[in-house]
Amino acid sequence: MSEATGCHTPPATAEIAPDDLLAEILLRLPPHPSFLSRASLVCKRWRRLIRDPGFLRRLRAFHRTPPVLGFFNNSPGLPRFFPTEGIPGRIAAEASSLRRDGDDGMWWFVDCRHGRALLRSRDWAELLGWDPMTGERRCITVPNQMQAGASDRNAAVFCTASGVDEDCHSSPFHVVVVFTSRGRVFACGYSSRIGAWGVLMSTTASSPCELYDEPPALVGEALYWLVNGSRILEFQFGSQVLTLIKWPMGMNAIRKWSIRLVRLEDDVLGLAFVKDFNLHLWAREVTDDGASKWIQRRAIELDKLLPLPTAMDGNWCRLMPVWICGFAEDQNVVLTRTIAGVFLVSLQTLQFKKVSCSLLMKTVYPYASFYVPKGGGDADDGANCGIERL
Amino acid sequence: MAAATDDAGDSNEMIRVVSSDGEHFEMPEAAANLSLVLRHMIEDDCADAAGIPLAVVAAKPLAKIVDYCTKHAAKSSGLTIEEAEELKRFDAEFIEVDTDMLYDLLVAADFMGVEGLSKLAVQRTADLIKGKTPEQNRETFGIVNDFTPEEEEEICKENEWAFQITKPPSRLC
Repeated sequence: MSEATGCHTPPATAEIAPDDLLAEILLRLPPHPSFLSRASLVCKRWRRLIRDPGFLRRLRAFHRTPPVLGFFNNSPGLPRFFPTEGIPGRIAAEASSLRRDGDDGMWWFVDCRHGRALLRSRDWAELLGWDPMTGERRCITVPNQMQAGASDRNAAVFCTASGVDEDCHSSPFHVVVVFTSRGRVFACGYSSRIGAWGVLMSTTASSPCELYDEPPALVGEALYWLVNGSRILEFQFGSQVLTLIKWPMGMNAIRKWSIRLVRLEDDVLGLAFVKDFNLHLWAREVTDDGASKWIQRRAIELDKLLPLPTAMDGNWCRLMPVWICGFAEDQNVVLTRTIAGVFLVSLQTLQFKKVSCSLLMKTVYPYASFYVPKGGGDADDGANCGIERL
Repeated sequence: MAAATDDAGDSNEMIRVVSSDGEHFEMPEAAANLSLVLRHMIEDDCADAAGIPLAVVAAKPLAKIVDYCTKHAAKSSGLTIEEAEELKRFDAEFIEVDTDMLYDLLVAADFMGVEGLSKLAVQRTADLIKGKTPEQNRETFGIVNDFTPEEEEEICKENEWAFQITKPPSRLC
């Protein structure tokens, strides 16, 4: 048999690429960036492998969803970062050093998505696009027409890099500002690639419009903000269509701080709200005839799930309402404020973790990212914003 | 309608393999088929009484790999929950080896194309790395620190940029 042609001895070790094997091992470290960050300190070879763009692409493909590293909060006096794992690193120090010239010197968080944070000056005259991992900052001047006469404003940041092939940290990002003025609602988009604002879109509101402060939900190619009067502002940024839609009847009584627009796992618009200590999730589903209706998907008993204090004569936790203070849509993780502090709850596994003792966090901005090597971003000098690069 | 008890193509034939240091091992063909390299050689009709020579796999790791493949081939499909649990326990004990053996298994499993074992050894190595400081990792894996002090300082600064060490957020409360 061994005389048969084609029989061979398997190749020798020299043909095995140990780099490939080491890369396989490094891929399987937990997705929190601190693990790769520390591994890159071992030796030059490990560092070279970890910083390789091909490796970083595989890392994103392997883990798929970046981990929630913490959240930002507009604390009085300065913006703050609260890590969900680990001791506060440079991101925390950087967040608290975000200062600007003029008026109160503050930048206020408005939104955070795809590894980017969006901040605004108090008067909305300027926006700051900030990449906490690379340190890249871009100052954006808001056109006058979006400032004068606008009563409420809100904004979104997102990037359109497609999945694992592109990294949001090195891709252009988009900003959309929405505002209300004299019975109309407006939206306008900014692209960092061309460094310019697009066309101002608007639609009429049948009754006075008040935009809620909470960040929007991004579903497909549309952004959704909550508006008073049981309405939702939808901006389809691909087709540039701006509309007001209705949210389910009977929810008017839900306290404003207990309701959020979210993206559900199957990429549909959802409403998350807390009523009687239950976290309800409703989905906006499109029926065969093209109409849409709201369907209840889940209800999670937060007072049974979370370790909230109880008293002899009943539930202490009932003395203080639960707020939904943040939602990480890619990770399907909700941040809730309870009488016992802020908890991060995975809606998929129902695992939870206490991340702050604060009782005052109304809105937080979850931040998620994979490992990004320093020097990966093209930083603007930000000089016209009065920002100093560190 | 005949009960299909055996996997198609299974035979009771024993496959012989020879380690780089000349030791002979035997395993059922179903076990050998878990190695891509061995499967190709069996398909090419190269498995004979003399045994398939594995020029770069020494006897010690090869004995382990034969154990692994024999165990996994015997429980390849239609596992009950208990059997799956048992196989998991087997894997967990199997991979509790020193770093020399782990390295041998990593390289040998990769070379022989034993996917399950390769993943097991890769994950075990990652688990060993994750809880260690850079210095501890150098010691564990016999790596020389080839950074100059200046480079090290620079990289430490860069490392500090994002995160330092992972610990529960007890300091927050």
